[in-house]
Amino acid sequence: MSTLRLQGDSAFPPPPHDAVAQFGERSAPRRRRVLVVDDERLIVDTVVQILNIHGYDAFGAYSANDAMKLAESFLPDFLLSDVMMPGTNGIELAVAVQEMLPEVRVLLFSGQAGTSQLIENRNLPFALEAKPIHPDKLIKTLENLGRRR
Amino acid sequence: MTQDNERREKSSGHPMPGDAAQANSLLAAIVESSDDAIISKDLDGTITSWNAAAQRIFGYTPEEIVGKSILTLIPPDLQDEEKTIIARLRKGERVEHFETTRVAKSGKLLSLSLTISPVRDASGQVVGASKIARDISERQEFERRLVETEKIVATGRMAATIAHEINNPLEAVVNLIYLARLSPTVNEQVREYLRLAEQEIERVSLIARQTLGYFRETAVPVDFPVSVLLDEVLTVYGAKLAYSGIDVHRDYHPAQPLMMRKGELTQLFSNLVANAIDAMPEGGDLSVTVGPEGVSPAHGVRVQMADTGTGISSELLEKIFEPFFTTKEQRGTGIGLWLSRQFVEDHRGSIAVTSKTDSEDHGTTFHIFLPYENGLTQTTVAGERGNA
Repeated sequence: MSTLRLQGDSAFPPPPHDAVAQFGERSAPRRRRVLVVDDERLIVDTVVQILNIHGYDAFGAYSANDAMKLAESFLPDFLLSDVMMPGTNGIELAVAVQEMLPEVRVLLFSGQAGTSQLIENRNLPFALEAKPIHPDKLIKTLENLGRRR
Repeated sequence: MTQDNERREKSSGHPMPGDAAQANSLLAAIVESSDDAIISKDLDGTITSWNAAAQRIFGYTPEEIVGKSILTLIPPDLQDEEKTIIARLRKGERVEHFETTRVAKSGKLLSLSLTISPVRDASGQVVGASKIARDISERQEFERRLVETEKIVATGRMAATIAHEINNPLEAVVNLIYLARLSPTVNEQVREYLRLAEQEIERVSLIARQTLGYFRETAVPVDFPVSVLLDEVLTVYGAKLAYSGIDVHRDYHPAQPLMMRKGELTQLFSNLVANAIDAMPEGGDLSVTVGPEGVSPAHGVRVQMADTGTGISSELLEKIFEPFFTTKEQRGTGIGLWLSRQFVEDHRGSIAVTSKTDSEDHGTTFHIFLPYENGLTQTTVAGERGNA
C-alpha cells in the first residue's frame, strides 16, 4: 500500500493493512491506481476506502488543483472525478490530466443534469455516470474501462 | 386661416398634397390599407365608418354594421365599458392601448388593444370618436406559451439545483451503507437492515434522477417484456393497493418484448398506478390489459390501465398532460403525467386518456401504445432531458 499523502487538504488515509486483509485483499502484481476527486470530502473518503477494499490503489483530492499536483507524482491509471466543483471543474481537470498522462482513463460522476451535453459537445473520450452510483456499479464500470483500450 | 397659411409656409420645403380633395383621398387610402381596424362612431355609439381591416377582424361588411350600435361588438358582460369610454371622450380624453375583449360576427371572442380618440368638429366640440383596434390574440397566445416555457425552464433550473444538492449526500450515504455492510462485526440482522436501507436509497435516487434532474436514463436500452415490467410496478405498489381496497385484474396477452429505457417506463407505469390509487380512496378495481396490436410497421404493444375512480371532467381531461396541472392540489406537483407523456414519446409511442364521471358508471382509462420500431438499440447513447 502506498503511503503517498496529500499536502494541505489531506484526504482520508488508505485503510490500515489489517482492515484490508479482513475484507480479503486481492493479490495483484500491480494495483491499479485511481485518483478520486470531489469537493464533497465524505464522498472522496468513502470512495477511496471502497476502491482500496476492491484491490485498487486509490487516493483522494478535494479540489481540481490538488488533484493536478497529485497526478504528477501518483501517475494514476484512472481519474474518477466530480464535475461541478468550485474553481476548475472536473471536465477541465480531466482534459489537463489526460494531456499529461495520455493513458489515463477518465470516469466522471455528476449529480447534475446537463453534464453529458458538456462532454458530448466537445466530443471528449470520458465516461459519465450519474450520482449516486452504487459501489458495485462503480467497480464494474472501472473494470470495463480498464479492459477497453 | 392665417394660422393655416403660416403652417403651409413653414412646411413649404416638404411635398404637400396640392388640394384638400387629394389630401382626403390619401388619408382614406391610409385608413383603408391599415392592418388595424379603424372605426369611427358618434357620441351615441353609432358606428359611422368601418375600414377593410375592421371587416377582416370582426367579419361584418360596412353595409352590415355602419349605422348600428358599437355595443354590437362588445360582449354582454363588458357593455359597461362603453359608458366609461364615452364619458372620457366627452371630456376630450383619449383611451390608449386598452386591452379588452370584443366579439366578432361569428361569436368568436377577440383579444384587442384599443386606442380611442375624440373627434372634434370645426368649433372644437367633441362629436364622436375614432377607434383603432389591434388584434392581439396571437400575441396573447405567444405570451401564454412564453410564460409556460419560462415556468418549465425555471422549474428545470430549480430541479437541477435540488437534484445536485440531493445526489451528493445520497452518493455519500450509499457508500457509507456499503462500507457498513462489509464490516465483519455487523451481524446478519443488521446486515439485512442495511440491505433494505440500500434498496430504499435506490428508490430515492431513481426519483431524484427522473423527476428532479429531468435526467434521461443513462442506462443502455434493454429488450424487455412490458407485462413483466407492469408486474414489477404492481408488486412495488402491492401493499398500497391492498391497503386502499383496490383489486387488481390482469388481462395479459402474449406480446414480444420491446426495446425500452426500463427506468423511464417504470416511472410511467408507476405514475399511472399511483394516480389510480389516489383516484380510488374508497377502493375499487384496477384493470390492466396488455397485448400485441397492429400489423407491421406500426405494430407494437398496447397497454390499458382502467380505474373505477370518480373520473375526470372533460374540461380537466384536456389539461392533464400539461406541465404543472394537477387535480391533487397540495399533494400533486403536476409533473407526473407530463413526464409520463414525454417518456412515451421518447419511445415513439402515444398515450391517451378517456374518463367517465357518471354516478353509476365512472372511472378513468389510460391507453398507451408502444411501437416496436422506436429507434432504440442496445447502443443508443442516452442524452439528457434538456432544460432548454
